[in-house]
Amino acid sequence: MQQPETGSNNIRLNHVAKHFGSEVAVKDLELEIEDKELLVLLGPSGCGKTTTMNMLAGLEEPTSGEIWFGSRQVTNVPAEQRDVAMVFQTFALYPHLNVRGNIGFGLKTRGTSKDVIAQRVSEISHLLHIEELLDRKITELSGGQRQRVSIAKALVRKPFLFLLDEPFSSIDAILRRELRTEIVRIHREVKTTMVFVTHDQEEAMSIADRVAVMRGGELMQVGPPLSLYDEPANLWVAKFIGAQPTNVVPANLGERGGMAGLFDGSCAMQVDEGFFDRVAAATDSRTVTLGVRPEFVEVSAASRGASSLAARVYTLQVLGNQILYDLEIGTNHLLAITSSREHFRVDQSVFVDFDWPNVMAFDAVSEARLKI
Amino acid sequence: MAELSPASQDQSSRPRRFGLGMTDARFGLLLSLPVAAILILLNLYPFLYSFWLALRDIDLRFGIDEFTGLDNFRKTLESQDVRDAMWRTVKYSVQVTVYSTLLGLGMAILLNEKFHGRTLLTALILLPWAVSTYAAGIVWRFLLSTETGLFPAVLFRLGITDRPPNLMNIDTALTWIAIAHTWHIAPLGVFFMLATLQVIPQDLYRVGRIDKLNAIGRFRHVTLPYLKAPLLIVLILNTISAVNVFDLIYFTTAGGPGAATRVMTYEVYTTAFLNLRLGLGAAEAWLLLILVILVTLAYVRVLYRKEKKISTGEAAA
Amino acid sequence: MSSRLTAKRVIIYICALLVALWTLVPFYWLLNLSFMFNVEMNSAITHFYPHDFTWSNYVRLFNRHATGPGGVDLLPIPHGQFIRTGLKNSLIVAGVTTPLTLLIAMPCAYVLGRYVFPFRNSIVMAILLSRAYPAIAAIIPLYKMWSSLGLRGTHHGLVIVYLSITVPLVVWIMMGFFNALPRSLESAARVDGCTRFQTLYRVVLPTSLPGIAACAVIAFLLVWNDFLFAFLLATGSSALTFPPTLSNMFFQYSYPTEASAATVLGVLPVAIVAFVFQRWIRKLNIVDPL
Repeated sequence: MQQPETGSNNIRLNHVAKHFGSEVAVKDLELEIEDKELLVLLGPSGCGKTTTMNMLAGLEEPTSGEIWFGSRQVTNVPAEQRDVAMVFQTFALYPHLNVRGNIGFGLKTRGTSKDVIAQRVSEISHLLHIEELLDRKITELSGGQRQRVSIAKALVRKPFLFLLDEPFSSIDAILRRELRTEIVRIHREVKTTMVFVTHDQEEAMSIADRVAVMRGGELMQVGPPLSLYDEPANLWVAKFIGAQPTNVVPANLGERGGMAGLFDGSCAMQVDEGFFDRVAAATDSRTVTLGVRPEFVEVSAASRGASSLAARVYTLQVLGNQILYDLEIGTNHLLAITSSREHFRVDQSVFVDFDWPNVMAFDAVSEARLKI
Repeated sequence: MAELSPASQDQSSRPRRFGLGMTDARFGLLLSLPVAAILILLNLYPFLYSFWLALRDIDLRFGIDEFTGLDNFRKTLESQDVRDAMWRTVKYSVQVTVYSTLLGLGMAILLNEKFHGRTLLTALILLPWAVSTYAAGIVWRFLLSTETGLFPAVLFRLGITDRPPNLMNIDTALTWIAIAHTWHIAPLGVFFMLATLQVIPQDLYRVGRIDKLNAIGRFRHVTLPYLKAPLLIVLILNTISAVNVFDLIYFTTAGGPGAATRVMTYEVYTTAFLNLRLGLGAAEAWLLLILVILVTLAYVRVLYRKEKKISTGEAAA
Repeated sequence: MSSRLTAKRVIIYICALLVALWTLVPFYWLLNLSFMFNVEMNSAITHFYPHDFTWSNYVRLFNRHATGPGGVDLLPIPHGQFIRTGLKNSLIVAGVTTPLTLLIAMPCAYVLGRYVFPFRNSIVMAILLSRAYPAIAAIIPLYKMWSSLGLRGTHHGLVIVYLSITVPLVVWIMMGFFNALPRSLESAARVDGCTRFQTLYRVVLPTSLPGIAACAVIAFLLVWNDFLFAFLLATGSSALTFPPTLSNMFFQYSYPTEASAATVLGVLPVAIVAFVFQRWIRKLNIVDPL
């Protein structure tokens, strides 16, 4: 196992795996968390993100592999001896203590003096705007207040690593947005490495420095939010990231300048030549899977010729200033988002064009994205 | 709670090798050591010791104490008194179980309805259970006896009998004690079943109505499936309580009239502590024990089945 | 429709009334007798309420004279002093057994509810079986053991016996209680720097106080209400608790009116305690108070 260079405060997971009996929760995970970054572990439920977090916290011991905090091996160090703090989905505040007692609890168990505790508690409650709650009972707080207290309780220790396990999932939508902004602000202020677990890609994209996408115990891709959006490693990530699912269009590109068969040949359209050239440079196969985000599907009333597909509006949803169309092409469906005020009706015949520079192509077999 | 093991074993199932030499295994063992000691010294050892006693002829009146092998067991199995007592225990237990389970179910269903005074009544019905068995015995003796009894007095005042009748006669005494026992233990089943009734989703009853089920149909198809597990446990708990009855008999009839209420526990008591033949008493107690163990094994089976259901339910969720 | 609803309400209230009568009438009858002079009880058919209400049966249990009907002087009940000693002994034995039970049972209940460790299932099974062991069967070997150890007829001898009953029960109840606590609270405590021990006594136990209090009540009631063990292991000694003392009075020395008053003295405190704590006790969702 390689040891990171001394002095670095990066956190490394080296070939970490966790099995529960015969069930594999995390599979050979290789991940480096950079010093003071806000990394989001993102994935659907059961993907291993919470297990990964528990291993980082020391609540769960890896079956194999190593975990390094900077130059310190912590693989088998229990939670109480790691310098980590954690915010839980269920808040996990001690009901027998008041807010002040909860925030100071971790410092008290570590033998910090009373004066220092009092000072740190007042600093952190100022940072989180909860000064007026300090003497309240936990049961008297709202969900949002509880989560602020829970964050304060975690931050007050100035931990080496700050873990947040789906912290906003039991809070209502409006407050959730507010707290997201708050987390980014707090991260800027306290300059601590944070790992944030969520299943909500929108949440991940809006707060992360980098996002690590997991699926079925495996790490799919790590990178800044925009790169996940622009350059997903594979079709699954492309579908998972983005407000609306990416359209998956199996295509046979045929000859340059000719017609391409879409959806197993059930319809045809002319492919942009530049796009064809870029795909041809990346792969010898003419059969690829196109990934077209709804925002790059253009809908118009008039055909532009061979590059347009005839379609019919099946349903539509108004999303504020945008409209999401579900378009029917033969027996297949495409999603399209338009921001124009021009409004098509259900069952209206329309024409669809792709915004070719933004269309992604994936290997039809491995589903890996082609670098085009 | 009825689970026999933590709901999510996987969370901490692997022993940890770190930190002050402490592992989950050691922590668990260390903290359960005092209880294990109590179980071994005060439950397991006397249990085995009673078997040793059963192999000896011990008569404290004459200071006899000698090894006689399985002789006590032979005597026990051949004794007509023991056979009669066992039969009475069975009769008694069946009565208590049936009465108290049905009454418990009825009261639970009643208390699951909304009415004024429900909270008060729910608290009140706990009282007979909180009162000790011996006090229940005294109370019911006073209720039933010809001299002081409410029931005989009522029957007389209503003109049903020409004088306060003797209710505790050879034919009826056992049943009256079973009723007293029911008064004492039915509340337990109520709390058990009420807790379950309260978690049945109300939507199921609405769906039942939409599907045109009448009250009986809704009880059969919605309530009963939920109640199955607690109902079974209550049945078995009530049975065990009935088999082990002693105080009630001692305070109401002391085994009489004649031998009409001499159940197995009373037989053991007579042999071991009135006739002071501890060895023979121990052998008789073993017979009782076998009966109780059979019921308890049924209990364990029910619980394990329930647990399996819970854990698979969690896996699905 | 509305008439059917009304009919249902009527049936519900009738049933509620019947249940209340079934529950309370036996208690009423005990109180009724205890507030009667013996003369009244003996005179004719038992009265449904005391025509000549009196506290004399209670007063006379506490070594006082009372005035009977027609100014007759009633002597103190001779057995009263034993009843008082019995109450005191019960208080001592139950008062010592209860905290000891909690001290021994809570840590074990916690690890049984939360951790997996060797012999765990054996311990659970042993607890279950110990709950089903008929008292009369358990007493025979204990009688012999306690005789040879000199523990018969002593307070501590009784306390030890009662621990063998209360501890398994409390462990059984609290095992489920701890298992149902949210796990994240303990994770939080570990992350906050608590060891397993500290997690238990600084977080788990303080948050479980209602459950622990309910268990204290249950353990106390169990000891306070026991007749058989004390009867067979302490009869004839100065450590005899209330129930067997009452049984002596009941069968040998008293009129029903006097015995009723003595029974009320033993029953009333626990009835009040049970009534006050019933909400907590119910929340424990007890499976097994055999």
